[in-house]
Amino acid sequence: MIIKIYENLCKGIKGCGNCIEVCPKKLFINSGNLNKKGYILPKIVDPNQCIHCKKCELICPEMAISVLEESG
Amino acid sequence: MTSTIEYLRNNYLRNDLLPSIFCPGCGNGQIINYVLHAIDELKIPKNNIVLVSGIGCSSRIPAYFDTDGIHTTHGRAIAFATGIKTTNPKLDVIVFTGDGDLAAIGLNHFLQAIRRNIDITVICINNENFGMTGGQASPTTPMGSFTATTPYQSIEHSFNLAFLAKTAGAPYVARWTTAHSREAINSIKKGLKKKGFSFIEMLSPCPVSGKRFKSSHEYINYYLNNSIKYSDKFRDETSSHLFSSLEECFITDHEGKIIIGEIVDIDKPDFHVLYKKLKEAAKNEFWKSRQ
Ligand SMILES: Cc1ncc(C[n+]2csc(CCOP(=O)(O)OP(=O)(O)O)c2C)c(N)n1
Ligand code: SF4
Ligand code: SF4
Ligand code: SF4
Ligand SMILES: [Mg+2]
Repeated sequence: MIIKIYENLCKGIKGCGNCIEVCPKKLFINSGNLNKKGYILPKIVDPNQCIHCKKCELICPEMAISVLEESG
Repeated sequence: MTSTIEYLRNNYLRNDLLPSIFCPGCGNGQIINYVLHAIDELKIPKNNIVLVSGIGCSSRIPAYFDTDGIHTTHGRAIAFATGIKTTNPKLDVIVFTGDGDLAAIGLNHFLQAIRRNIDITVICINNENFGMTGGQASPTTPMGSFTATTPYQSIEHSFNLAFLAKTAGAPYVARWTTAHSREAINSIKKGLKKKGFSFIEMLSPCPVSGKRFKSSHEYINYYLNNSIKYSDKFRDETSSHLFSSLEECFITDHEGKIIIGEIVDIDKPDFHVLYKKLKEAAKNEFWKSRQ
């Protein structure tokens, strides 16, 4: 699975953090890094554990997460 | 390879305006995400969509869509939408309105459009306060809440908007929270397909003015753990929150369970179909009298 976070769009895990809250596999964690606007970014721990439920993609208020099944 | 979300953004949104102007943790962006999925899954052509809003943070939502839309005056979105839909019934008209916009200054438009069964889809982003102006109490602020205008707790009863829509006769009514992504998308799709007035109430975080919680993830956690599915046993609840007693409202850490689910799904003729019939009949009558 390829999970992409569009870092320039993210509003940060402090004010938002929805992705961390909803992922059933707890794959999102604090990256400790800031984006250009100063928001603390999430990061993915282990994309291989992803079950492609797309909860993270749907819950994100900035359309900043995409989950893709690796094809071929 | 373009990802789904990238495709949706490129196809339906004004990408240059992202990230949105909304505060971190605001639920308005989630509503954009859900409507985006609903119109894409229904394959509604972009040029058939008109988005209408009033005034408030939530009323800024149409600005992000690359479709036709108007940002109207406070409380009047449904009146504008009625005009648009009546003039061209082929259009898919969606109204975005806040709890203040809909239930305070605009309440009568809401009730009268339901009574007429105007075929529009109204999405109320209910953050239980006037977000844009700094967190004043709105008609949906739960009793017992602390807000900018109720510093010693609100002693006013609140409206249960979904039940109000049901009582007024809307053929499709649902309430979800922004934590219920798939359910919300499905209800928006059903609302768009329904002939007649559809009302989708979305409980939504406002961590900056509403301040019930400091962040969206706390709201999402609260919504997921404190909602209860609608059933026939719920009839007279005057709030979207279920309080067992008046006293309970004033216990500050007690929030009450939110009633969620599909509340109405019936069929009844909409205004535009009846209007077309009436126009035909009147035309025939007119020419008969002149033969
Ligand atoms: C006629 C008029 N009265 C008052 C206002 C001030 N005003 C701006 S937004 C707003 C309330 C918005 O609350 P809501 O509809 O819940 O939207 P939110 O910001 O919470 O999304 C008010 C009273 C106005 N713009 N116009
Ligand atoms: S849900 Fe989106 S905006 Fe929120 S923290 Fe995660 S990536 Fe950022
Ligand atoms: S698709 Fe589901 S399992 Fe995979 S990262 Fe997103 S929320 Fe987690
Ligand atoms: S004040 Fe509230 S409703 Fe307005 S943008 Fe900020 S979080 Fe959203
Ligand atoms: Mg509001």
